[in-house]
Amino acid sequence: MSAAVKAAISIRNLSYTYMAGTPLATPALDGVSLRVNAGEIVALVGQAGAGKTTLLQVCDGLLRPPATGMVQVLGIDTAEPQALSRLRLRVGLLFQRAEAQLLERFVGDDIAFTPRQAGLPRDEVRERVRQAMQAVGLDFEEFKDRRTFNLSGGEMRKVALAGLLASRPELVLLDEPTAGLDPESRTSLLEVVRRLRDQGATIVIASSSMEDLPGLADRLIILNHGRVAAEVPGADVWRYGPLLRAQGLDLPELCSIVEHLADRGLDLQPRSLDPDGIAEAICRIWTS
Amino acid sequence: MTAPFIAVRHASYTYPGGRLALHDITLDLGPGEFVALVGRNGCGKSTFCRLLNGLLLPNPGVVTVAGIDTRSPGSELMVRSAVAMVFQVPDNQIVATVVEQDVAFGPENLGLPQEQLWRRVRDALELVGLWEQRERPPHLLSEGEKQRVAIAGALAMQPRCLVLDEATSMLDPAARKRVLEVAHLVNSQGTTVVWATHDMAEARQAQRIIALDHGRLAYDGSPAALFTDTALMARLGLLPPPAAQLAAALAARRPSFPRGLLYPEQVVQAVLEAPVASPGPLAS
Repeated sequence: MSAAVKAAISIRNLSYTYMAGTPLATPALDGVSLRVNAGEIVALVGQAGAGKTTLLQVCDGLLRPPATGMVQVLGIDTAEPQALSRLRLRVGLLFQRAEAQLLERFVGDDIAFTPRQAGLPRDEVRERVRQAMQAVGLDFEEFKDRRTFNLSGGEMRKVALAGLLASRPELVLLDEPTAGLDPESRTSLLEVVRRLRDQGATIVIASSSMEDLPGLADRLIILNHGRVAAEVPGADVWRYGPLLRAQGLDLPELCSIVEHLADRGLDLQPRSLDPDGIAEAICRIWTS
Repeated sequence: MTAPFIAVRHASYTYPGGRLALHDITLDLGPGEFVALVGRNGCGKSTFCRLLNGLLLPNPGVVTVAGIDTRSPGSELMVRSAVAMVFQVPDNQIVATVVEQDVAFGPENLGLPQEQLWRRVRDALELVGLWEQRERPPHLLSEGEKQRVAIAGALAMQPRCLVLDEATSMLDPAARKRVLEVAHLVNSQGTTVVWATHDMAEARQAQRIIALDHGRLAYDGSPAALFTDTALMARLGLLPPPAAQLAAALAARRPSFPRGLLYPEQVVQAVLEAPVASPGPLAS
Protein backbone atom coordinates (compact mmCIF):
# COMPACT_ATOMS: atom_id res chain seq x y z
CA MET A 1 0.00 0.00 0.00
CA SER A 2 1.50 3.34 -0.98
CA ALA A 3 2.46 5.73 1.74
CA ALA A 4 0.35 8.41 0.06
CA VAL A 5 -2.85 6.68 1.23
CA LYS A 6 -3.98 8.32 4.44
CA ALA A 7 -4.40 6.13 7.49
CA ALA A 8 -7.79 6.32 9.20
CA ILE A 9 -6.49 4.21 12.06
CA SER A 10 -2.88 3.60 12.92
CA ILE A 11 -2.07 1.45 15.94
CA ARG A 12 1.34 0.48 17.18
CA ASN A 13 2.00 -2.08 19.85
CA LEU A 14 -1.27 -1.53 21.70
CA SER A 15 -1.98 -3.53 24.83
CA TYR A 16 -5.07 -3.17 26.97
CA THR A 17 -5.95 -4.89 30.22
CA TYR A 18 -9.31 -4.57 31.96
CA MET A 19 -9.08 -3.85 35.68
CA ALA A 20 -5.32 -3.67 35.37
CA GLY A 21 -3.48 -3.79 38.68
CA THR A 22 -6.27 -5.66 40.45
CA PRO A 23 -6.59 -9.40 41.10
CA LEU A 24 -9.30 -9.39 38.42
CA ALA A 25 -6.98 -8.04 35.71
CA THR A 26 -8.05 -9.45 32.34
CA PRO A 27 -5.76 -8.84 29.38
CA ALA A 28 -7.76 -8.12 26.21
CA LEU A 29 -5.21 -6.78 23.71
CA ASP A 30 -1.59 -7.77 23.62
CA GLY A 31 0.82 -5.92 21.34
CA VAL A 32 -1.57 -5.14 18.48
CA SER A 33 -0.22 -3.18 15.51
CA LEU A 34 -2.40 -2.45 12.52
CA ARG A 35 -3.35 0.16 10.00
CA VAL A 36 -6.69 0.89 8.37
CA ASN A 37 -6.51 3.10 5.29
CA ALA A 38 -8.99 5.87 4.66
CA GLY A 39 -11.87 4.58 2.54
CA GLU A 40 -11.29 0.90 3.34
CA ILE A 41 -13.75 -1.63 4.71
CA VAL A 42 -11.84 -3.79 7.16
CA ALA A 43 -13.28 -6.68 9.12
CA LEU A 44 -11.95 -7.66 12.53
CA VAL A 45 -12.72 -11.34 12.91
CA GLY A 46 -12.08 -13.80 15.69
CA GLN A 47 -13.87 -15.92 18.23
CA ALA A 48 -15.65 -14.45 21.23
CA GLY A 49 -13.03 -13.00 23.58
CA ALA A 50 -10.47 -12.32 20.84
CA GLY A 51 -10.37 -8.57 21.62
CA LYS A 52 -12.52 -7.22 18.78
CA THR A 53 -14.83 -5.11 20.92
CA THR A 54 -11.95 -3.75 23.00
CA LEU A 55 -10.12 -2.67 19.86
CA LEU A 56 -13.19 -0.86 18.50
CA GLN A 57 -13.79 0.88 21.82
CA VAL A 58 -10.19 2.04 21.99
CA CYS A 59 -10.53 3.49 18.48
CA ASP A 60 -13.73 5.27 19.51
CA GLY A 61 -12.06 6.64 22.63
CA LEU A 62 -14.59 4.91 24.87
CA LEU A 63 -11.75 3.07 26.57
CA ARG A 64 -9.15 5.43 27.96
CA PRO A 65 -5.84 5.85 26.17
CA PRO A 66 -3.68 2.85 26.83
CA ALA A 67 -0.65 2.83 29.01
CA THR A 68 1.33 1.09 26.31
CA GLY A 69 1.21 1.63 22.59
CA MET A 70 0.11 4.39 20.25
CA VAL A 71 -3.32 4.87 18.74
CA GLN A 72 -3.93 7.47 16.06
CA VAL A 73 -7.45 7.89 14.78
CA LEU A 74 -8.03 10.22 11.83
CA GLY A 75 -4.59 11.66 12.46
CA ILE A 76 -5.29 12.43 16.11
CA ASP A 77 -3.35 10.70 18.88
CA THR A 78 -6.04 9.47 21.29
CA ALA A 79 -3.73 10.13 24.25
CA GLU A 80 -3.73 13.89 23.54
CA PRO A 81 -5.85 16.12 25.73
CA GLN A 82 -9.02 17.14 23.87
CA ALA A 83 -8.62 14.15 21.53
CA LEU A 84 -12.05 12.80 22.42
CA SER A 85 -13.95 16.00 21.81
CA ARG A 86 -12.16 16.40 18.50
CA LEU A 87 -13.06 12.85 17.48
CA ARG A 88 -16.60 12.65 18.87
CA LEU A 89 -18.43 13.79 15.73
CA ARG A 90 -15.99 12.22 13.32
CA VAL A 91 -16.10 8.66 14.66
CA GLY A 92 -19.27 6.61 15.14
CA LEU A 93 -19.53 3.31 17.01
CA LEU A 94 -22.47 0.92 16.78
CA PHE A 95 -22.59 -1.23 19.89
CA GLN A 96 -23.13 -4.95 19.80
CA ARG A 97 -26.28 -4.54 21.85
CA ALA A 98 -27.95 -1.53 20.31
CA GLU A 99 -30.32 -1.03 23.23
CA ALA A 100 -27.29 -0.20 25.37
CA GLN A 101 -26.65 2.97 23.36
CA LEU A 102 -30.17 4.33 23.09
CA LEU A 103 -31.06 6.93 25.67
CA GLU A 104 -33.90 9.19 24.58
CA ARG A 105 -37.56 8.30 25.07
CA PHE A 106 -38.53 9.11 21.50
CA VAL A 107 -36.89 7.78 18.37
CA GLY A 108 -36.41 11.18 16.69
CA ASP A 109 -34.76 12.66 19.79
CA ASP A 110 -32.45 9.71 20.11
CA ILE A 111 -31.22 10.01 16.54
CA ALA A 112 -30.85 13.79 16.94
CA PHE A 113 -28.80 13.46 20.12
CA THR A 114 -25.26 13.83 18.78
CA PRO A 115 -25.97 16.54 16.18
CA ARG A 116 -27.81 18.52 18.91
CA GLN A 117 -24.90 18.09 21.31
CA ALA A 118 -22.65 19.42 18.56
CA GLY A 119 -24.77 22.56 18.50
CA LEU A 120 -25.98 22.23 14.92
CA PRO A 121 -28.89 24.46 13.89
CA ARG A 122 -32.40 23.05 14.36
CA ASP A 123 -33.21 22.70 10.66
CA GLU A 124 -29.92 20.98 9.96
CA VAL A 125 -30.52 18.52 12.80
CA ARG A 126 -34.00 17.73 11.52
CA GLU A 127 -32.73 17.20 7.99
CA ARG A 128 -29.94 14.92 9.18
CA VAL A 129 -32.37 12.87 11.26
CA ARG A 130 -34.73 12.56 8.29
CA GLN A 131 -31.94 11.40 5.97
CA ALA A 132 -30.45 9.01 8.51
CA MET A 133 -33.83 7.38 9.13
CA GLN A 134 -34.41 7.04 5.40
CA ALA A 135 -31.00 5.40 4.99
CA VAL A 136 -31.80 2.65 7.51
CA GLY A 137 -35.34 2.13 6.28
CA LEU A 138 -37.27 3.81 9.10
CA ASP A 139 -40.08 6.03 7.87
CA PHE A 140 -39.55 9.52 9.38
CA GLU A 141 -43.21 10.36 10.04
CA GLU A 142 -44.07 6.86 11.28
CA PHE A 143 -41.16 6.40 13.64
CA LYS A 144 -39.92 9.79 14.87
CA ASP A 145 -42.43 9.97 17.73
CA ARG A 146 -42.43 6.26 18.57
CA ARG A 147 -41.16 5.30 22.00
CA THR A 148 -37.60 4.06 21.66
CA PHE A 149 -37.82 1.30 24.23
CA ASN A 150 -41.06 -0.19 22.88
CA LEU A 151 -39.39 -1.07 19.57
CA SER A 152 -38.36 -4.60 18.57
CA GLY A 153 -34.70 -5.58 18.82
CA GLY A 154 -34.14 -5.16 15.09
CA GLU A 155 -35.82 -1.74 15.06
CA MET A 156 -33.69 -0.57 18.01
CA ARG A 157 -30.60 -1.51 16.10
CA LYS A 158 -31.80 0.55 13.14
CA VAL A 159 -32.37 3.55 15.43
CA ALA A 160 -28.85 3.18 16.84
CA LEU A 161 -27.42 3.01 13.33
CA ALA A 162 -29.45 6.06 12.25
CA GLY A 163 -28.09 7.94 15.27
CA LEU A 164 -24.60 7.09 14.12
CA LEU A 165 -25.30 8.19 10.54
CA ALA A 166 -26.81 11.49 11.68
CA SER A 167 -23.43 12.62 12.96
CA ARG A 168 -21.97 11.86 9.49
CA PRO A 169 -18.83 10.22 10.80
CA GLU A 170 -15.73 9.73 8.68
CA LEU A 171 -14.89 6.55 10.54
CA VAL A 172 -17.64 4.04 11.28
CA LEU A 173 -17.04 1.23 13.78
CA LEU A 174 -19.62 -1.58 13.81
CA ASP A 175 -19.60 -4.22 16.54
CA GLU A 176 -21.34 -7.44 15.39
CA PRO A 177 -23.81 -5.36 13.41
CA THR A 178 -25.81 -8.27 11.97
CA ALA A 179 -26.16 -10.46 15.07
CA GLY A 180 -29.83 -11.10 15.78
CA LEU A 181 -31.07 -9.36 12.64
CA ASP A 182 -33.44 -11.06 10.23
CA PRO A 183 -32.12 -11.67 6.69
CA GLU A 184 -33.92 -8.64 5.24
CA SER A 185 -32.60 -6.23 7.88
CA ARG A 186 -29.18 -7.79 7.43
CA THR A 187 -29.17 -7.19 3.70
CA SER A 188 -30.27 -3.59 4.16
CA LEU A 189 -27.62 -3.00 6.83
CA LEU A 190 -24.95 -4.27 4.47
CA GLU A 191 -26.34 -1.90 1.80
CA VAL A 192 -25.97 1.01 4.23
CA VAL A 193 -22.35 0.00 4.82
CA ARG A 194 -21.61 -0.06 1.08
CA ARG A 195 -23.28 3.33 0.62
CA LEU A 196 -21.23 4.80 3.45
CA ARG A 197 -18.07 3.58 1.77
CA ASP A 198 -19.18 5.05 -1.55
CA GLN A 199 -19.59 8.36 0.28
CA GLY A 200 -15.98 8.13 1.41
CA ALA A 201 -16.26 6.78 4.96
CA THR A 202 -13.85 4.25 6.42
CA ILE A 203 -15.54 1.25 7.99
CA VAL A 204 -14.34 -1.29 10.52
CA ILE A 205 -16.65 -4.23 11.24
CA ALA A 206 -16.06 -6.58 14.16
CA SER A 207 -17.66 -9.95 13.58
CA SER A 208 -17.40 -13.48 14.85
CA SER A 209 -19.41 -14.68 11.86
CA MET A 210 -17.62 -14.73 8.52
CA GLU A 211 -20.82 -15.15 6.51
CA ASP A 212 -21.35 -11.58 5.25
CA LEU A 213 -17.76 -10.44 5.02
CA PRO A 214 -16.07 -11.81 1.88
CA GLY A 215 -18.11 -9.74 -0.58
CA LEU A 216 -17.94 -6.69 1.64
CA ALA A 217 -14.57 -6.26 3.33
CA ASP A 218 -11.37 -5.37 1.50
CA ARG A 219 -9.34 -7.06 4.19
CA LEU A 220 -9.96 -9.37 7.13
CA ILE A 221 -7.78 -8.95 10.19
CA ILE A 222 -7.91 -12.04 12.36
CA LEU A 223 -7.57 -11.54 16.11
CA ASN A 224 -6.79 -14.36 18.50
CA HIS A 225 -6.39 -13.87 22.24
CA GLY A 226 -5.69 -10.18 21.83
CA ARG A 227 -3.11 -10.52 19.08
CA VAL A 228 -3.24 -10.04 15.33
CA ALA A 229 -2.97 -13.62 14.09
CA ALA A 230 -3.23 -13.07 10.34
CA GLU A 231 -4.53 -10.84 7.62
CA VAL A 232 -6.49 -12.08 4.62
CA PRO A 233 -7.68 -10.28 1.47
CA GLY A 234 -11.51 -10.22 1.29
CA ALA A 235 -11.75 -11.08 -2.41
CA ASP A 236 -10.19 -14.54 -2.23
CA VAL A 237 -10.80 -15.43 1.39
CA TRP A 238 -11.71 -18.98 0.29
CA ARG A 239 -8.02 -19.66 -0.41
CA TYR A 240 -7.35 -19.32 3.33
CA GLY A 241 -9.61 -22.07 4.67
CA PRO A 242 -6.90 -23.96 6.61
CA LEU A 243 -5.55 -20.76 8.16
CA LEU A 244 -9.03 -19.63 9.25
CA ARG A 245 -9.92 -23.04 10.65
CA ALA A 246 -6.69 -23.05 12.64
CA GLN A 247 -8.00 -19.82 14.23
CA GLY A 248 -11.31 -21.47 15.14
CA LEU A 249 -13.13 -19.70 12.31
CA ASP A 250 -15.14 -21.24 9.50
CA LEU A 251 -15.21 -20.21 5.89
CA PRO A 252 -18.57 -18.81 4.87
CA GLU A 253 -20.71 -21.48 3.26
CA LEU A 254 -20.28 -20.31 -0.35
CA CYS A 255 -16.53 -19.91 0.12
CA SER A 256 -16.37 -23.46 1.47
CA ILE A 257 -18.05 -24.68 -1.75
CA VAL A 258 -15.48 -22.78 -3.85
CA GLU A 259 -12.72 -24.25 -1.70
CA HIS A 260 -14.05 -27.82 -2.04
CA LEU A 261 -14.34 -27.47 -5.80
CA ALA A 262 -10.78 -26.12 -5.95
CA ASP A 263 -9.61 -29.13 -3.91
CA ARG A 264 -11.27 -31.35 -6.52
CA GLY A 265 -9.48 -29.57 -9.37
CA LEU A 266 -12.06 -26.94 -10.31
CA ASP A 267 -10.40 -23.57 -9.75
CA LEU A 268 -13.31 -21.21 -10.29
CA GLN A 269 -11.73 -17.79 -9.78
CA PRO A 270 -15.16 -16.21 -9.31
CA ARG A 271 -15.53 -12.51 -10.00
CA SER A 272 -17.59 -12.11 -6.86
CA LEU A 273 -18.32 -14.40 -3.92
CA ASP A 274 -22.12 -14.22 -4.14
CA PRO A 275 -24.35 -16.98 -5.60
CA ASP A 276 -24.49 -15.35 -9.04
CA GLY A 277 -20.75 -14.72 -9.22
CA ILE A 278 -19.97 -18.31 -8.27
CA ALA A 279 -22.68 -19.79 -10.53
CA GLU A 280 -21.24 -17.83 -13.48
CA ALA A 281 -17.76 -19.11 -12.74
CA ILE A 282 -19.04 -22.70 -12.60
CA CYS A 283 -20.92 -22.25 -15.90
CA ARG A 284 -17.75 -20.87 -17.52
CA ILE A 285 -15.96 -24.09 -16.60
CA TRP A 286 -18.89 -26.23 -17.75
CA THR A 287 -18.87 -24.62 -21.17
CA SER A 288 -15.14 -24.16 -21.59
CA MET B 1 -49.74 -39.76 13.09
CA THR B 2 -48.85 -39.69 16.78
CA ALA B 3 -51.03 -37.75 19.19
CA PRO B 4 -49.98 -34.10 19.44
CA PHE B 5 -47.85 -33.33 22.45
CA ILE B 6 -48.61 -29.64 22.20
CA ALA B 7 -51.80 -28.51 20.50
CA VAL B 8 -52.27 -24.85 19.56
CA ARG B 9 -55.83 -23.97 18.57
CA HIS B 10 -56.81 -20.57 17.15
CA ALA B 11 -54.34 -18.94 19.50
CA SER B 12 -53.95 -15.16 19.41
CA TYR B 13 -52.08 -12.85 21.72
CA THR B 14 -52.28 -9.09 22.18
CA TYR B 15 -49.73 -7.32 24.37
CA PRO B 16 -50.93 -4.82 26.97
CA GLY B 17 -51.04 -1.60 25.00
CA GLY B 18 -52.84 -3.19 22.11
CA ARG B 19 -50.18 -4.62 19.80
CA LEU B 20 -51.50 -7.83 18.23
CA ALA B 21 -48.49 -10.16 18.21
CA LEU B 22 -50.10 -13.47 17.20
CA HIS B 23 -53.26 -14.04 15.25
CA ASP B 24 -55.26 -17.27 15.02
CA ILE B 25 -52.47 -19.85 15.06
CA THR B 26 -53.48 -23.50 14.85
CA LEU B 27 -50.91 -26.29 14.76
CA ASP B 28 -49.67 -29.41 16.53
CA LEU B 29 -46.22 -30.30 17.80
CA GLY B 30 -45.61 -34.03 17.99
CA PRO B 31 -43.35 -35.84 20.44
CA GLY B 32 -39.72 -35.98 19.31
CA GLU B 33 -40.04 -33.44 16.49
CA PHE B 34 -37.28 -30.93 15.67
CA VAL B 35 -39.05 -27.79 14.51
CA ALA B 36 -37.42 -24.57 13.34
CA LEU B 37 -39.37 -21.36 13.88
CA VAL B 38 -38.51 -18.55 11.47
CA GLY B 39 -39.68 -15.08 10.41
CA ARG B 40 -38.74 -11.41 10.54
CA ASN B 41 -37.73 -9.52 13.68
CA GLY B 42 -41.02 -8.77 15.41
CA CYS B 43 -43.08 -11.44 13.56
CA GLY B 44 -44.19 -13.13 16.78
CA LYS B 45 -41.59 -15.90 17.24
CA SER B 46 -40.82 -15.04 20.86
CA THR B 47 -44.50 -14.61 21.67
CA PHE B 48 -45.24 -18.02 20.15
CA CYS B 49 -42.44 -19.62 22.17
CA ARG B 50 -43.84 -18.12 25.36
CA LEU B 51 -47.31 -19.51 24.64
CA LEU B 52 -45.86 -23.02 24.50
CA ASN B 53 -44.86 -23.09 28.16
CA GLY B 54 -47.52 -20.86 29.61
CA LEU B 55 -45.32 -17.80 30.15
CA LEU B 56 -48.00 -16.10 28.09
CA LEU B 57 -51.58 -17.33 27.81
CA PRO B 58 -53.50 -17.23 24.54
CA ASN B 59 -56.46 -14.87 24.31
CA PRO B 60 -58.50 -15.96 22.54
CA GLY B 61 -57.54 -19.53 21.75
CA VAL B 62 -56.19 -22.59 23.52
CA VAL B 63 -52.78 -24.17 24.02
CA THR B 64 -52.63 -27.63 25.55
CA VAL B 65 -49.46 -29.38 26.69
CA ALA B 66 -49.87 -33.15 27.09
CA GLY B 67 -53.60 -32.52 27.17
CA ILE B 68 -53.45 -29.84 29.86
CA ASP B 69 -54.85 -26.40 29.05
CA THR B 70 -52.15 -23.82 29.87
CA ARG B 71 -54.89 -21.47 31.09
CA SER B 72 -56.21 -23.84 33.73
CA PRO B 73 -55.41 -22.69 37.27
CA GLY B 74 -52.55 -24.60 38.86
CA SER B 75 -51.22 -25.97 35.58
CA GLU B 76 -48.03 -23.83 35.58
CA LEU B 77 -45.72 -26.29 37.32
CA MET B 78 -46.74 -29.22 35.14
CA VAL B 79 -46.63 -27.17 31.92
CA ARG B 80 -43.28 -25.55 32.68
CA SER B 81 -41.62 -28.76 33.71
CA ALA B 82 -42.84 -30.35 30.48
CA VAL B 83 -41.81 -27.43 28.25
CA ALA B 84 -38.53 -25.71 29.17
CA MET B 85 -37.30 -22.48 27.61
CA VAL B 86 -33.89 -21.08 26.78
CA PHE B 87 -33.67 -17.38 25.94
CA GLN B 88 -31.42 -15.31 23.70
CA VAL B 89 -29.30 -13.82 26.48
CA PRO B 90 -28.15 -16.47 28.98
CA ASP B 91 -27.38 -13.85 31.65
CA ASN B 92 -31.12 -13.27 31.91
CA GLN B 93 -31.75 -16.80 33.08
CA ILE B 94 -28.70 -17.75 35.13
CA VAL B 95 -29.47 -17.21 38.80
CA ALA B 96 -26.82 -18.95 40.90
CA THR B 97 -23.15 -18.17 41.50
CA VAL B 98 -21.89 -21.70 40.85
CA VAL B 99 -22.65 -23.63 37.65
CA GLU B 100 -24.00 -26.80 39.27
CA GLN B 101 -26.21 -24.85 41.67
CA ASP B 102 -27.66 -22.95 38.76
CA VAL B 103 -28.50 -26.19 36.98
CA ALA B 104 -29.99 -27.58 40.22
CA PHE B 105 -32.22 -24.56 40.73
CA GLY B 106 -35.18 -25.80 38.66
CA PRO B 107 -35.31 -29.43 39.84
CA GLU B 108 -34.78 -28.35 43.48
CA ASN B 109 -38.12 -26.62 43.21
CA LEU B 110 -39.69 -29.92 42.24
CA GLY B 111 -38.77 -31.26 45.69
CA LEU B 112 -36.76 -34.20 44.37
CA PRO B 113 -34.69 -36.40 46.71
CA GLN B 114 -31.05 -35.22 46.84
CA GLU B 115 -29.61 -38.23 45.06
CA GLN B 116 -32.05 -37.96 42.18
CA LEU B 117 -31.57 -34.20 42.00
CA TRP B 118 -27.79 -34.40 41.66
CA ARG B 119 -28.00 -37.24 39.18
CA ARG B 120 -30.13 -35.00 36.99
CA VAL B 121 -27.63 -32.15 37.36
CA ARG B 122 -24.78 -34.43 36.45
CA ASP B 123 -26.58 -35.90 33.44
CA ALA B 124 -27.51 -32.45 32.16
CA LEU B 125 -24.00 -31.02 32.59
CA GLU B 126 -22.43 -34.05 30.94
CA LEU B 127 -24.81 -33.79 28.04
CA VAL B 128 -23.88 -30.15 27.33
CA GLY B 129 -20.20 -30.89 27.93
CA LEU B 130 -19.75 -28.73 31.06
CA TRP B 131 -19.36 -31.29 33.85
CA GLU B 132 -15.72 -30.26 34.28
CA GLN B 133 -16.81 -26.65 34.79
CA ARG B 134 -19.44 -27.48 37.42
CA GLU B 135 -17.75 -25.61 40.27
CA ARG B 136 -16.97 -22.42 38.35
CA PRO B 137 -18.95 -19.20 38.66
CA PRO B 138 -21.09 -18.76 35.53
CA HIS B 139 -19.97 -15.16 34.97
CA LEU B 140 -16.44 -16.37 34.21
CA LEU B 141 -17.66 -18.63 31.41
CA SER B 142 -17.83 -17.61 27.75
CA GLU B 143 -21.22 -16.64 26.31
CA GLY B 144 -21.47 -20.01 24.56
CA GLU B 145 -20.71 -21.88 27.76
CA LYS B 146 -23.26 -19.76 29.65
CA GLN B 147 -25.86 -20.63 27.05
CA ARG B 148 -25.05 -24.31 27.58
CA VAL B 149 -25.46 -23.81 31.35
CA ALA B 150 -28.89 -22.35 30.63
CA ILE B 151 -29.71 -25.37 28.46
CA ALA B 152 -28.45 -27.73 31.18
CA GLY B 153 -30.72 -25.95 33.65
CA ALA B 154 -33.64 -26.50 31.29
CA LEU B 155 -32.69 -30.15 30.72
CA ALA B 156 -32.39 -30.86 34.43
CA MET B 157 -36.15 -30.39 34.55
CA GLN B 158 -36.30 -33.40 32.19
CA PRO B 159 -38.68 -31.58 29.91
CA ARG B 160 -40.46 -33.33 27.08
CA CYS B 161 -39.96 -30.23 24.97
CA LEU B 162 -37.11 -27.73 24.81
CA VAL B 163 -37.87 -24.33 23.29
CA LEU B 164 -34.82 -22.28 22.28
CA ASP B 165 -35.66 -18.69 21.41
CA GLU B 166 -32.79 -17.44 19.22
CA ALA B 167 -30.48 -19.12 21.70
CA THR B 168 -27.48 -18.85 19.38
CA SER B 169 -27.90 -15.41 17.81
CA MET B 170 -25.38 -13.74 20.13
CA LEU B 171 -22.84 -16.58 19.98
CA ASP B 172 -19.78 -17.01 17.79
CA PRO B 173 -19.94 -19.74 15.14
CA ALA B 174 -18.01 -22.34 17.15
CA ALA B 175 -20.26 -21.87 20.20
CA ARG B 176 -23.32 -21.79 17.96
CA LYS B 177 -22.40 -25.09 16.38
CA ARG B 178 -21.89 -26.66 19.82
CA VAL B 179 -25.28 -25.46 21.09
CA LEU B 180 -27.00 -26.74 17.95
CA GLU B 181 -25.28 -30.11 18.37
CA VAL B 182 -26.57 -30.27 21.95
CA ALA B 183 -30.10 -29.54 20.69
CA HIS B 184 -29.84 -32.36 18.14
CA LEU B 185 -28.45 -34.71 20.78
CA VAL B 186 -31.33 -33.95 23.13
CA ASN B 187 -33.75 -34.40 20.25
CA SER B 188 -32.23 -37.80 19.37
CA GLN B 189 -33.10 -38.88 22.91
CA GLY B 190 -36.75 -38.13 22.26
CA THR B 191 -37.17 -34.52 23.40
CA THR B 192 -39.19 -32.24 21.14
CA VAL B 193 -37.11 -29.23 20.12
CA VAL B 194 -38.45 -25.87 18.95
CA TRP B 195 -35.58 -23.81 17.54
CA ALA B 196 -36.32 -20.15 16.74
CA THR B 197 -33.68 -18.69 14.46
CA HIS B 198 -32.82 -16.22 11.71
CA ASP B 199 -30.13 -18.52 10.39
CA MET B 200 -31.50 -20.58 7.53
CA ALA B 201 -28.41 -22.81 7.62
CA GLU B 202 -29.60 -23.85 11.09
CA ALA B 203 -33.24 -24.04 10.05
CA ARG B 204 -32.52 -26.41 7.15
CA GLN B 205 -31.43 -29.06 9.68
CA ALA B 206 -34.94 -29.23 11.13
CA GLN B 207 -37.50 -31.80 10.00
CA ARG B 208 -40.11 -29.11 9.84
CA ILE B 209 -40.16 -25.33 9.56
CA ILE B 210 -42.87 -23.08 10.90
CA ALA B 211 -42.77 -19.55 9.50
CA LEU B 212 -44.64 -16.61 10.99
CA ASP B 213 -45.46 -13.40 9.16
CA HIS B 214 -46.91 -10.45 11.06
CA GLY B 215 -48.19 -12.78 13.75
CA ARG B 216 -49.85 -15.23 11.36
CA LEU B 217 -48.89 -18.75 10.41
CA ALA B 218 -47.42 -18.39 6.93
CA TYR B 219 -45.82 -21.78 6.34
CA ASP B 220 -45.67 -25.17 8.01
CA GLY B 221 -43.74 -27.86 6.14
CA SER B 222 -40.37 -29.15 5.02
CA PRO B 223 -37.28 -26.91 4.71
CA ALA B 224 -36.78 -27.88 1.04
CA ALA B 225 -40.31 -26.88 0.01
CA LEU B 226 -40.01 -23.53 1.80
CA PHE B 227 -36.57 -22.63 0.45
CA THR B 228 -37.58 -23.35 -3.15
CA ASP B 229 -40.77 -21.26 -2.95
CA THR B 230 -39.15 -17.97 -3.96
CA ALA B 231 -42.35 -15.93 -3.83
CA LEU B 232 -43.17 -17.03 -0.28
CA MET B 233 -39.56 -16.59 0.85
CA ALA B 234 -39.61 -13.01 -0.44
CA ARG B 235 -42.92 -12.32 1.30
CA LEU B 236 -41.47 -13.64 4.55
CA GLY B 237 -38.28 -11.60 4.14
CA LEU B 238 -36.19 -14.78 4.18
CA LEU B 239 -33.25 -15.93 2.08
CA PRO B 240 -32.47 -19.63 1.54
CA PRO B 241 -29.20 -20.91 2.99
CA PRO B 242 -26.23 -19.86 0.80
CA ALA B 243 -25.75 -23.34 -0.71
CA ALA B 244 -29.43 -23.43 -1.73
CA GLN B 245 -29.08 -19.95 -3.29
CA LEU B 246 -26.13 -21.15 -5.33
CA ALA B 247 -28.02 -24.31 -6.36
CA ALA B 248 -30.92 -22.13 -7.53
CA ALA B 249 -28.56 -19.84 -9.46
CA LEU B 250 -27.06 -22.89 -11.17
CA ALA B 251 -30.47 -24.40 -11.95
CA ALA B 252 -31.53 -21.09 -13.49
CA ARG B 253 -28.52 -21.25 -15.82
CA ARG B 254 -28.64 -24.96 -16.55
CA PRO B 255 -32.12 -26.56 -16.42
CA SER B 256 -30.69 -30.08 -15.98
CA PHE B 257 -29.06 -29.11 -12.65
CA PRO B 258 -30.86 -30.92 -9.78
CA ARG B 259 -33.49 -28.94 -7.85
CA GLY B 260 -33.94 -28.54 -4.13
CA LEU B 261 -30.32 -28.96 -3.00
CA LEU B 262 -29.79 -27.45 0.46
CA TYR B 263 -26.32 -28.42 1.68
CA PRO B 264 -22.83 -27.41 0.45
CA GLU B 265 -21.76 -31.04 0.00
CA GLN B 266 -24.80 -31.72 -2.21
CA VAL B 267 -23.98 -28.72 -4.41
CA VAL B 268 -20.30 -29.67 -4.70
CA GLN B 269 -21.32 -33.22 -5.64
CA ALA B 270 -23.86 -32.08 -8.23
CA VAL B 271 -21.39 -29.65 -9.81
CA LEU B 272 -18.73 -32.35 -10.06
CA GLU B 273 -21.21 -34.85 -11.53
CA ALA B 274 -22.70 -32.45 -14.07
CA PRO B 275 -21.74 -33.37 -17.63
CA VAL B 276 -19.30 -30.85 -19.15
CA ALA B 277 -18.32 -29.97 -22.68
CA SER B 278 -14.67 -30.61 -21.95
CA PRO B 279 -13.68 -33.18 -19.32
CA GLY B 280 -10.37 -31.39 -18.65
CA PRO B 281 -11.08 -29.53 -15.41
CA LEU B 282 -12.87 -32.53 -13.92
CA ALA B 283 -10.09 -34.98 -14.64
CA SER B 284 -8.92 -35.18 -11.03
